[in-house]
Amino acid sequence: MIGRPRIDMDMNLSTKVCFYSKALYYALAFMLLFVIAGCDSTKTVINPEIVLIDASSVTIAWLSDKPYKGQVFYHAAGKGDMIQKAMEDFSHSCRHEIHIDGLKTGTQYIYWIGSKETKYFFRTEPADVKPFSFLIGLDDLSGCINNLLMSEMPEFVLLYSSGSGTKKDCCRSIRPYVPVYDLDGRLSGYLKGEKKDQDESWRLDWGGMCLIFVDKAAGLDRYMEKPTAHTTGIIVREAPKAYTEQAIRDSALHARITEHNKKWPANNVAFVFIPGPDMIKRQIDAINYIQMPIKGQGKAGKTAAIRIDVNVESTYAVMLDTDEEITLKMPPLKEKRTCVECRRLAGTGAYKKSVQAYREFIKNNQGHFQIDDAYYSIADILDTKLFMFKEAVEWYNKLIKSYPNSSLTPLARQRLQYISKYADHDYEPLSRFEQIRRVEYLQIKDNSADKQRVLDKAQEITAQYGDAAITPVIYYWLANQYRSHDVQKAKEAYLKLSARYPDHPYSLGVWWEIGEAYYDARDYKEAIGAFNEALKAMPDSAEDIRVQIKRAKRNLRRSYINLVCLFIPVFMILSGVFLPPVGIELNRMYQALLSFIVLLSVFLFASWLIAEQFSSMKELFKITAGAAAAFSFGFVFSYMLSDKILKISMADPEKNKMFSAFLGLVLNLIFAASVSYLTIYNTNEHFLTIFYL
Amino acid sequence: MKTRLLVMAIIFIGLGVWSCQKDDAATKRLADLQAFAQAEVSIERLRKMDNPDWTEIKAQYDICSGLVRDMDGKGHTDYAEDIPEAIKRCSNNERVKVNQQTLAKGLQHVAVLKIRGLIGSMAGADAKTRANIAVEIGAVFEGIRPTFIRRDKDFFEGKSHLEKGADQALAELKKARGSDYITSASRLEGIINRTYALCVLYEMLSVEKLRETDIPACDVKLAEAVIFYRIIEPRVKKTDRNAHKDITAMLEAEYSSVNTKLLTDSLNRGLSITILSER
Repeated sequence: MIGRPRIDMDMNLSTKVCFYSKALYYALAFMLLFVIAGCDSTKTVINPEIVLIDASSVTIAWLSDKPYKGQVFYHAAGKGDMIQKAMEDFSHSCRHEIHIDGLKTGTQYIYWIGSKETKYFFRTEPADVKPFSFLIGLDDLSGCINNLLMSEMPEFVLLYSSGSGTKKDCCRSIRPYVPVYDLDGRLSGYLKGEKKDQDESWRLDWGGMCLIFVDKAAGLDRYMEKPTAHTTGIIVREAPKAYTEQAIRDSALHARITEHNKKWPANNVAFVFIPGPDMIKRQIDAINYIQMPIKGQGKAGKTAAIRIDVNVESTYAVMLDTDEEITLKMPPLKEKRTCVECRRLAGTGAYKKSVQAYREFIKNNQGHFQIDDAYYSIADILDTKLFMFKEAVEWYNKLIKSYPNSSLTPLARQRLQYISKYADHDYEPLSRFEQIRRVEYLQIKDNSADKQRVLDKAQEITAQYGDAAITPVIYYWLANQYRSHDVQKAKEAYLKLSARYPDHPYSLGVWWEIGEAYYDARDYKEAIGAFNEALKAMPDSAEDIRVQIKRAKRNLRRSYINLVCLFIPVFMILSGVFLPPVGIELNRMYQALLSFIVLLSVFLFASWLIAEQFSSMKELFKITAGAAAAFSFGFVFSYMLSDKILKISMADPEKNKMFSAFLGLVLNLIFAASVSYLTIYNTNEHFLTIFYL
Repeated sequence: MKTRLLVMAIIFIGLGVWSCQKDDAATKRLADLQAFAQAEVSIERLRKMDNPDWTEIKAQYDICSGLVRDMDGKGHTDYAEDIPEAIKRCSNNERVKVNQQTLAKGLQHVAVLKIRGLIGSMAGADAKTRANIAVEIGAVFEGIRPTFIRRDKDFFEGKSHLEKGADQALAELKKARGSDYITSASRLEGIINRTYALCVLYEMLSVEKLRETDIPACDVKLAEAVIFYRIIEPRVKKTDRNAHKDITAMLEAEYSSVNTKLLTDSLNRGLSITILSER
């Protein structure tokens, strides 16, 4: 009873220190969150635009009425990818430009600038072999351009006009989505300084297509050497003197294109757009000449916009108002050479019937058509669908012998080279392996027993044909399949490959592969061991391997810290409760609960402001709840523990009240840091990089 | 002074009446679309009963017929003729299971065409009108919502990827202020296309399963798949002509040639997405 008032005084002081410490924590937490938040939502965004775009990068520009440092948030559409952020390199400005690279080819990305409410999208340039469409505007499209963008999904828009940068911009509303060009180049207010001279020829490469913009034949030379595009078109900007077929045939331009097509039959110029009063199509020497009325200079007739569908084997122009279709590039499999029915059968999976149909087609049309593609199709079906390699080789050879100049011959040679490498044992191991790899394994969904059965079948091939050329490839494939679910077996397969076929190219990197397998399985100790072995085997790749070792060590360190961080709160809670006097102060628990609720609400609100930093709402909630718990409940246990330590160790607590408060604060800091680490590590350890961990 | 006041009063009254009429027209249009969606859902419920009441179904179809005729003109379809004919055949007990697909799936096609039309009409509209159109799109969407729920159940274990995605796109569409409506409208179209691609796949998976045992059931499934594909055909055709050719070839081929792995691949190529992705 005598010591009671003294204890109350201690408690008051302790409570005060506790209060100030809490206030300090909240202030720090707020500062941290708002520093991360970076910008406020009132920043204006004027005229956003896709300035440049290619297969892996994009440049987005916009203006603002007040200077700030711009940032763009983006993610791949519909893939659940994490939201990423790109920031301007320069200091605060009213003119913003952000370059993003490392994007996936032919992928649609959603992005927003500042406010999440206003989202746009763009699509990166597709791979060479992928089909795509673009739009040609022959008239003022301002009334319909939004709908055309949505219905036709063009990759870019080409306004068939010259020097229209000064005129009314009919594509303003779609500029945040697709790049816009005119006959003189990229049409953008942001690139005015970089605008080309109007008489300079230029070239637009997109996917596997190449468009060359010229005034005269001379302009072609610099763009037509060593062509690689599967579809080449020429857009002539200067109107010809006459529009007759003979005039075109006699022109220098036609002579130059014909010469090119003779030299490069597989990369020939398929179409030429020439300015003219009316829209007319002419085919001269297998080149499609299309007369196009330049905007404001002729009559577009009914057609204001044209969609061009580009594919490897064919290209079409579709007049959007009339649905009329013009073939710009002949599809070799349809128009001249082959059998639609055969393709239909192959398309539906009836491969044997399709081969039979192709054979009949060849028999019935010998001498009338070029039938190289029929030869190739049969060989391809036998090779990649039916795995009858012996027969496939025969057909590939027939093609090479009968049609040495065919565009399919190089492909046939390539396949022959691959098949002949594994021709031993009468193609038996190759055939069985391809059947497993391309059919049986792909058909398994998630049944591990089935998966194992198929992998065992592949294993059998290696046992039966140990000396076959394909066997190391099978080991390598097996090891790669095991990696996802049984690292030990993957390692065994890699080591077998290395031991039995030390000179095979796949054997060189096995330790690196093993290291990656362990790394993916989060077994970092083993991964480091394997990477060290890889260092010895592959000194040329030492730099890359060391990066992986560094990452594995970092992850290992994180897992150790995780264990320590788990021990600290558990220890503090247990010792806080069970050290004498045993028990817990309920009042403090109620206070902690109340502060948890308040803190959680505040943290949630603050996190919501930067929600795009989190990959999901669940993750956001977990981290904020963990942080709120760390900062609120930590006080209860750390101060209980500090009180009890003082009571146990000090004879006169009155003299050491400041020490008690200080100890409580330090313990609480440790508690909060540990729980915060645990939360982040177990939710999304990627965030630890913010704290250099 | 009096004359001026009178003129001003007349102008104000005129403006008031005009703006009320404008609102009335919008309200009526919305009510019509809601009635269409409700009738569509009712028809779906009624036709699945053991002994469907075809008179009642016809009565419900009459509510939809105005929009069906309207969409026939714009979408180059013939549902205004085909659907009453199908109802007539069903009531005469002629290939009921096949014919009712023309009714049910045809109405879904009409709903999608209407949604596309409404999205198209957003282009020249001001922000307020756009918001109203978004509400109308939401009303029409209610008619096809059950399909989204079913495909979520069939392919994503009931996790509402499709339904939630469509709802999010609709919510974004209502909030859009400027040209950013293109993003949410494209997203909505994308989800609709994906759902109907999954419908095609679902029916063809059934064909693959039943082709050895139940040919009449395959006929029904194929009829459904054909109409479902009609809904996404324009997009597939524009994105990848070869994919379109492959899909139509499979829809026309014998049941023994149906290969859903190839079909999935073609649908993925045709829509430039992975239709079975969990996201």
